[in-house]
Amino acid sequence: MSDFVSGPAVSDARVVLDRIRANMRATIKGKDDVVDQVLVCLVAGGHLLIEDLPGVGKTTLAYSLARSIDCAFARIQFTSDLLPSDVTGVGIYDESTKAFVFKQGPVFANVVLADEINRAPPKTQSALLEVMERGKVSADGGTHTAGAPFMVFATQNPTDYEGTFPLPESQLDRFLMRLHMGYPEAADELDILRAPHSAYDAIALSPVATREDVLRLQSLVSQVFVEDTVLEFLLRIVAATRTEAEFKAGISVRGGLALKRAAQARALLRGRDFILPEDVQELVVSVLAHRLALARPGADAVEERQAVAAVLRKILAALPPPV
Amino acid sequence: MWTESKRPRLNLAELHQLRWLLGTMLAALSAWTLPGMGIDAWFWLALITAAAPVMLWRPEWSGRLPAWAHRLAFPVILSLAAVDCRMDPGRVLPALVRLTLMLLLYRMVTARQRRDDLQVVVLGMFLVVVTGVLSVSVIFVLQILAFTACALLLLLTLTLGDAADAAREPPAGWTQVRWLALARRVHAVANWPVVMLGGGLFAGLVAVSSVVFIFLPRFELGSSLFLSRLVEGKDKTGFSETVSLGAVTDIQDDPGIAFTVDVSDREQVPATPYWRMLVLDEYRGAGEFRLSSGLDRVLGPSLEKIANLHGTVARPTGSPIRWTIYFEPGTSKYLPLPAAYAQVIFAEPPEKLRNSRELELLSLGKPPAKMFAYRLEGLDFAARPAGPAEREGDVAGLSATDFTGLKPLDKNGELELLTGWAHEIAVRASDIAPADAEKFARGASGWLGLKHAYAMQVNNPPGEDAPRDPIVRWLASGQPGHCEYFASAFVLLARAAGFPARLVVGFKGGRWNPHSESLTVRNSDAHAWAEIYDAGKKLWLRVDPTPGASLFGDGAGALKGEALLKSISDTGFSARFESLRVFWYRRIVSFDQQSQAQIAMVVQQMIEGWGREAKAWLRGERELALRWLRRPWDWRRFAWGAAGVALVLVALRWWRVGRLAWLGRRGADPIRREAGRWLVRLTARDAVEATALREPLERLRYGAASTWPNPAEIFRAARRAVRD
Repeated sequence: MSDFVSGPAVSDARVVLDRIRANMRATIKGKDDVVDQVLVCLVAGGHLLIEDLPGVGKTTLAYSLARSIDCAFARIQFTSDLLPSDVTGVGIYDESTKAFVFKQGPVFANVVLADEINRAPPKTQSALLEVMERGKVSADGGTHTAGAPFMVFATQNPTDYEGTFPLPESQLDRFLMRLHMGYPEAADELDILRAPHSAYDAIALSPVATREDVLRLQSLVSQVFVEDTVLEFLLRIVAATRTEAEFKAGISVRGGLALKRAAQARALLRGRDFILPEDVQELVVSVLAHRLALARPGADAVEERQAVAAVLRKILAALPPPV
Repeated sequence: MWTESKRPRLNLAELHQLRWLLGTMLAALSAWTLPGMGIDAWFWLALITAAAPVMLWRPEWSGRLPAWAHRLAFPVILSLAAVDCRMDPGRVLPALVRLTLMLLLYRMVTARQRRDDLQVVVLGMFLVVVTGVLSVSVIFVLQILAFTACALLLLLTLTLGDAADAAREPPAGWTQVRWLALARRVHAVANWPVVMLGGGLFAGLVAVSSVVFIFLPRFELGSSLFLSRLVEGKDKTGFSETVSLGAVTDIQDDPGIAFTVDVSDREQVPATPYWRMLVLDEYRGAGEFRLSSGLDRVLGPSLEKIANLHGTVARPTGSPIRWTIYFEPGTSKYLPLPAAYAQVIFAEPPEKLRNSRELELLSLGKPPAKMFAYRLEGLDFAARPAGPAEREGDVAGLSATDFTGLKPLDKNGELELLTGWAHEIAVRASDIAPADAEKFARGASGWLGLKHAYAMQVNNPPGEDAPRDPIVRWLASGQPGHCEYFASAFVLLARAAGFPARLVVGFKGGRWNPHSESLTVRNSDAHAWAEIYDAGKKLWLRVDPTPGASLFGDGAGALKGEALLKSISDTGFSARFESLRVFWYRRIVSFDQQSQAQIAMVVQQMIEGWGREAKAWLRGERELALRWLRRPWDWRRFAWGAAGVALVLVALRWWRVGRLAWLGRRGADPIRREAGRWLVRLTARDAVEATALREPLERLRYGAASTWPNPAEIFRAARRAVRD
């Protein structure tokens, strides 16, 4: 019994998550599935890559999450002249103590929005990616722990590739999921237009959970039970991407682990202490697609993204879930 | 969301692949009933056997045949069949079977649609039925089981294919088969309870058929269908009316079983049984003996459909020696007889039978096409065939002089040579007191043994100045020889000396099979020996002049009874396998309905006996338990009682959780499987009640076992929900 998450813990988790979800939905209109995915990512302790056009609410999404869970929010606009220290922080000589004092960069917030990450040079990108991977910053001979919880929303503009440094697949692997927001429905957009405020930090949003709540949720995830046949099903999906001729390379072991952890988080979000095959199925595209590249690249990023998702759906259709 | 978790199904391409596999297997299986029929169609069988793996390996080749070939196929096949019929008129069945095989082959290598598959089933069924009538081999039982199972599966696949899609055309790409992957898919999608139910039904069907087979009176299917009349078995030339030198020895190369024998009294098995089949009188020269037309008459007229026949000796009082002989097809139409008998009984009355009391021969109208069983009662191993003088009144024209002819040797001085040798032998046999056949036989045999060694390979080439007759040449050469040389030479020498003598062919000896407790005689036991007429005793004496044989074949001083059987026992795997054949023959052959009734009665008594025993045992146990309860109680008895109750409770608990275990496969949790099944079923029914059941069922299927609700209750609720 102790190996698995207990019943009361699960219902508590669900209550907390329902609260956060309701809170975010009030701000992010008509994007319930996106909110759900963001929460999955939050609970799984992963980072998000959002590939979309500017102005569809990426910043608002990250900000509303940070506010809902009572966390510090920081936004870094990546540009071609952004330096690693602009992200992580820098040591400054303090006259009074005659010593270098580390001045924390924006990355030390809990929810960090890295806007247009592909505009920065690789060195700066990797500084951020290192923090994402390890949760720590090494600078000036010292190691500084990032915030807990720590979650990065990185955005890429898929249509405008002029003067950018696209993230290679090996780097993309660090992101748990890639989301696509898209335009809202007409009715929802009308609501957005009606609202009096326009800047994201003008949104009045009260916290509905604490950082401790989130950390507790994250610790519960690994205790969500995964039955053997479901695990085999997950592995079959991963293995199928490796033999699929249309992909340049298959999913890494890290990718498989990510899919499992995301599925566990989704189960928790649904108030279950065990995962269903559908948890895996629903997350395959958002967790795996950005880790895959076509053997024959498409004309542009959008087309390639759609092609990869289509192949993944084809694989899913061919693999019956365990009954 | 959970409505998506449906049982996986085979797609159309996979169904087509399965159909192709089963159809090909069915065709090959039915073609392989052919060896049981003894019909000459090995060419087609070989083709079909070769085509099966090729078509499974490359199904796409089935579509490669050009259209004109399809158009030509049936005319070609029909004309081939017509030519076949013309070449062998009067024998319809072999031609029909060959035609069936051709059609099967055509269906095998071309793409099959639904009706073509059905045609394969029907063609196969024809072959199986024909084999069933013509053959009595134990392998046929396995064949028909495999055929039935395969045909049922094929029909099921056809039905599934129809249900899946009305479209008749197989989907493109179905020929890209990976059989291993297909097997895995079939394994994954199979509904195991249904598979087990089907398997159980099939096993039940087989069991019921077996019971019917035991209890129903049997009738002869063969003659009622006229099929066996359409097929002729093949004869070995060594055992036909004309035997040329070396023909019997050729038979010895075949290690196959000639016949098996059930003996009633193991004590009475002679050390070396001689199985007489055929007696040959006329020497035609060039080493060839023949059953002369004069003697052929002695065989008597054809008797039709008689069930039994009296022999030459009187029925002894007491229990007679009774041997049952299972004569394999393809040897001869003459039945091997180990000794004179009082009566012969046939399991199935032969179409035609010729009997000669004079020669003590039995001949069927033609070589049997399948195993022929007959029983000899009142065997008398001491009796010898009586001479013609005894039977002069019976048969006109048969006398001792019929067995003294040496006509072909009149020329070339060969007769003089023979007479000289015969004289030499007679002199060696000391006092030339004439007309003692036995003495002459002893002398001649010794003389032959001195001059010639035994060898299977004989070097006896014709030469310029050597005698032209091979037997005389052999006698002159002093070369080693085999039984035919010795026996033929003996006959010629005896005739030259004035004794009537004749050549006898058949089998000698046999091996004991300790597993089936029967004698096995193989073709390699084929043998030739001689009979010489003893005018004094008015009997024909058996003489085996081949070195190493006991001269008069009586095996005097040899082992007897169990010791003998042990010395000629065959052990090892092949004997075990051959014993199956005897068991099978014993089962299918019934000389009267009585034996069958006996078996039925024994089975009935056995079951009743078990029932009685079980009842008595239960009553006894109850008595014991009651007595135990009535005894005064102390703490120890209480402890025992409590332990017993606890054990029962544990067992009940275990049963409740584990009773589904038999449904499980590959060690997967049976409860998970069961929960999965209920999920599918409820989803399919869109049952509203299911929403309350969904969570617990999903938990049973995918959740940790420690968090499970009571499975039995949930399944009961699910059953209720499905029923409503």
